[in-house]
Amino acid sequence: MSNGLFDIFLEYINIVFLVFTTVLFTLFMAMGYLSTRNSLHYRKKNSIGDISRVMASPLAPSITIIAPAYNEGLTIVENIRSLLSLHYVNYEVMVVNDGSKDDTLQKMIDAYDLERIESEIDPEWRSKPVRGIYKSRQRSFSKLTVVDKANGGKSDALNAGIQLSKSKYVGCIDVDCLLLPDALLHVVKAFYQRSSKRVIAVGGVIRIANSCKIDGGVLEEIRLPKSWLARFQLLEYTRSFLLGRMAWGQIDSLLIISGAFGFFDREIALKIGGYDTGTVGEDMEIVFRMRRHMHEQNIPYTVEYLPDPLCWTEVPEDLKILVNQRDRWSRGNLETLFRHKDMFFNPKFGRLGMLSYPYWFFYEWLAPLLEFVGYFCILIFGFLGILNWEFFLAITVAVYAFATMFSFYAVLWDVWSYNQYTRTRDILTLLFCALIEPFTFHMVVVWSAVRGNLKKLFKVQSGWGSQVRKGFAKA
Amino acid sequence: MIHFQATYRPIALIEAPEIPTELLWGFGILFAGIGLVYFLIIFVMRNRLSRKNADVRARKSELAPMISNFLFYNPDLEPEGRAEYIRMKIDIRELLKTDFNRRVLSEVLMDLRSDVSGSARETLLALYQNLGLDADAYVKLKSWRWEKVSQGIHELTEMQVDTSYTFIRKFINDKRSVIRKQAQLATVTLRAEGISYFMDTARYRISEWQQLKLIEILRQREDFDPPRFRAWLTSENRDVVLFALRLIRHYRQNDAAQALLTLLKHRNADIRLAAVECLREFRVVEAREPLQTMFRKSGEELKLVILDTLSLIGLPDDLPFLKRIAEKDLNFIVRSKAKAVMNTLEPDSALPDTDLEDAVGEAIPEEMTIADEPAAETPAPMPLALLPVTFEIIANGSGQEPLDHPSAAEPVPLFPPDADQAVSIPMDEWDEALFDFCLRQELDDILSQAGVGASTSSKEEADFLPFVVEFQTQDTEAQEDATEENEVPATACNPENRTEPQEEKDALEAIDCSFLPFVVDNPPAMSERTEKAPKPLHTESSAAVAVEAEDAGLLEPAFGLQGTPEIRKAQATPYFQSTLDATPGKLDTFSIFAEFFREYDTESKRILLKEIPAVGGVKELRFLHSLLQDPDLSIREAASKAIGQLTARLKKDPEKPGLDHPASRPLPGVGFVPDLDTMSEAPEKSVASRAIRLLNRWGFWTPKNTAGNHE
Repeated sequence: MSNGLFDIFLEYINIVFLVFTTVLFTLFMAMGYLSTRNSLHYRKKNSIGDISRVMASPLAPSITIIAPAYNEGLTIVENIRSLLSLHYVNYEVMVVNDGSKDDTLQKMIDAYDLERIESEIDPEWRSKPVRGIYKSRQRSFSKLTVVDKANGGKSDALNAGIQLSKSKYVGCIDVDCLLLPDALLHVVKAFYQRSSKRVIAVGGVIRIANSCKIDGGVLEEIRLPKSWLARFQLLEYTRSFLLGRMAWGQIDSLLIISGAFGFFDREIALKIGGYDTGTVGEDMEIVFRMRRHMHEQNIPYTVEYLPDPLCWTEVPEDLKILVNQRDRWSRGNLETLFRHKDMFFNPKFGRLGMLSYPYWFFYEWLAPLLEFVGYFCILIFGFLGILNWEFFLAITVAVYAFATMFSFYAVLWDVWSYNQYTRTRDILTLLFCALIEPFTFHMVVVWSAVRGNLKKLFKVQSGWGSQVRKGFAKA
Repeated sequence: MIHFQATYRPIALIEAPEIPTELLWGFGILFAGIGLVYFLIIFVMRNRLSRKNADVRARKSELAPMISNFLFYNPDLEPEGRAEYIRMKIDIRELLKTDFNRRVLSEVLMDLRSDVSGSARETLLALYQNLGLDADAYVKLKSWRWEKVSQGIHELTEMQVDTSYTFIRKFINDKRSVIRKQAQLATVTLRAEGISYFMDTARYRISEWQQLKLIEILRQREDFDPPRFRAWLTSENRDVVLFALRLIRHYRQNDAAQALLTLLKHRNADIRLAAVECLREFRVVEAREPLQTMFRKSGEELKLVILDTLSLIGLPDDLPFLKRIAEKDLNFIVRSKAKAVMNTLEPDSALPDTDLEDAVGEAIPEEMTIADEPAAETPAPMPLALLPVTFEIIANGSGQEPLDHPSAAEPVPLFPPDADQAVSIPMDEWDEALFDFCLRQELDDILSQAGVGASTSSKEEADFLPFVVEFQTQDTEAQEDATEENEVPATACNPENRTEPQEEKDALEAIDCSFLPFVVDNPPAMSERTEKAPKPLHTESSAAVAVEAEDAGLLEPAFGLQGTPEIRKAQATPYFQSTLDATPGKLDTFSIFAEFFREYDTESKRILLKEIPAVGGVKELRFLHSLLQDPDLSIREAASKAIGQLTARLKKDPEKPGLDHPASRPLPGVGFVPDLDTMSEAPEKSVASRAIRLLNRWGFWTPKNTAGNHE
């Protein structure tokens, strides 16, 4: 024992960081491998045949797209028009006006010639009161249903929609999302292609529509966002959706389906009581509960994931809004993990309990906190002069190189799969973002996560925050 | 020298392990290197992809016109003739010497295939084989890579290479799912008998998506004579059974009823569901009992389909079963559906039972006066034409149980249908059904509290009534001023069994009430009710009479008033004259048929006129005579004929009661009562629903407003 106890303690801190980082590297590399394999298979499998042939099949299942709207008066008419133009025969668009304070409802009534209709609602269903249900007088808008209800939040609005829908599947999306015309065909295929397992949910990639050219609800030209904040998010989304979720999908351990584009088997969604209105991480929580339900019922099931760029949405270009969004995601993450804490390393839940849950716990929830503590330690140790500079520099370089490499791989995979940003300059810009992200955007994400956890810890009331929409038409 | 020995051995954990910093540096460099490689690959790959796409595009733009020219070239019509045709073919063949060109040409032909039809399409498909491109596809079938094999099958299928059928169908049970699925599609596409082969031999499961695509292929086949799919209902592959069921339904092959009934017992819920859908499609009545048996253990989707089926094949005997479901099933949608099916099998067998307001239990506030309320909204006195109508409240003997027959009667027709329709507010069927039900509930409650014990009835009893008129006391002169012109004393129409105050007598003299539809004769019941209204002139006379708004125009002559042109026009009609001529002493001159005439169109009137001789009495004779002045010639003729027949019948069989029989006499205290049974059989609307419609029209009746508010 040549060193004092304090020195040993410091050494162990270094070891903890080293192990944590090494496991992270290993997991990310495994994810890279799995996602690559899954993407290759998906691409080969779907390169043959024409999916649109079954568009009008009599066996095509019914789908209701539920789009909650709160103060969306600026863009609502255009967004609904886009949703009504999908290539599928058996679907309905249900816009749930969640007690908007602006003229969202009136704009819909005027634009689509809506009239109030009568419809029965299960009196035992828990959601805020429905004030009215509207259908269009015009046959051309017969697929549209508007539900006007008291404000209860996004989850509550989605629950009302799930309850009022009569379709086999429900799609929960953000009303400002732009779906590609054949999105529902891909979704139906994902639900229907399995014969040995029941597909309870289908999620997909969210692509960033900032600065894209959109006309009449149709995506005409894909462009790189002009805002640097949006560019960083584009890189982050590419990494997360094309590599992360694709990998989890490959091993059937996907625990989250984005709230902007998620489809569910309505029967199962109703059985578990719909979305949990008591959390801001409802999109993750519902997948947890659906999976648990199927596990407990011992029914073979799966959650499918679509890597095709079917859903396009705006991301925040304002730092404050971004921080609020990530803060909320962090809280939602914590709430969901806490509610399902019995799954933690629980072999009863198979890969979910032994792999997915721990990953989410350590690397989605704990990692930012640990990273923040790490930054804090560096400052303190540096100030005290006890920082092991050699180790610090070595691990920093390794982590930075790995992060950059992983981002490059995501860009590479995006180019190989879809090659949507055709200008060389755009690709270079994205790669440049990958180089500077660890010192810029990533710091914001870490701080937001810490803030969210602190809010949760000290029970600071905080809701959804707000997102100022520019509207596609103006993009 | 004392030698101390250590009492412990150092534990490795206390000594922190050495951190391999060099390894970290190594990793850093490695990752950076890989990152750099990725960077290069990105651009190399992009360039390759771009160049490749550009090459394919260029070659396609070169080949596509050549192929198009070839397809549409007719050597017999062109001057160069056959020589040019052969030259084009040689040019194309020259291009096929390279693999790249062959691949691009295949793609071009595949693309063109969907753009052409008829003979051009035939030529295209033939060209594909003439050029030997199918050989490339056959080669792909031998590849070890599943995507290659799948691609080959797809090409051969799309280009309809019939000879490939036997080669492809062996893949139908391939262990590689993508190949297997592609082969299944090809087998069904290439030959009509492919579906039978597939159904016979399929060993693997068939996904829903695959079934969707297979059915789509069959749907698009021209001149397809489908096999009898019931043959596969005995398959050991449950997906084949399921698919066969769907095909049976799609092609409407209703020759498998017994097998379908047997499949209701299948373990698989999807098969049960598909079987029920078939039974529904073919209306197999024998399925009623099996469906009821299997219902309890079914899921929501299957339950709904079963109920839907019962709505088509069910009988009234199934109502108890449906009622149990409507009451006890845990699922709201299933309960609702069960009620809907009940009503389909027997109308009104299930009625709304939730969210109904207990109107009887709501008292009119002390300070509320019936005359005041409209004054707040319409300061001017209510015009005569807006007088509402009231109901006949019929008490039964015990005063506890409601009467069997409808307890509310319709107003006497005063205006022809047009006049009525002009002011009617359209209501959808649901509203009518609900209001009808509400009204019945209300009346039942009132009747149960009225009857013999009417004197003890509470003030809330008739609060749903639209407009209760009292003879005002002197201290409510102001209110009287506002209402007296508008109100008709109910008691004026019921001269029996009571002492009439002078005012009522005056009113009776002034008003001919014989036309009034029905009159409330429940003074004790109404007396307490009216205590909450402005103080009456005569508290003992509390029956209410209100006149339907448009009917009120009829009163105008009696009051020496002039109506609107519409009203005057209406007054000129025979119906009006016949009713206006009636007097209290001649109440029995009112014919129930007059009401129907007000509602019905000419054709229906003629039908009614044929019915009158068989059931009519003296009052119908009067009514028929009034019809002799009808502007419609056909009505006049029919009325004349009916008069002859009715007169003859009455002479021949004076004992036959018709509508004059004592059984049809007014109930005690009621001026008259229409034949409720007859009215309830009226095909258009029930008495109650019409009455509630009138109430609703005047704003007296809404689900949330039963206190008698009106404009």
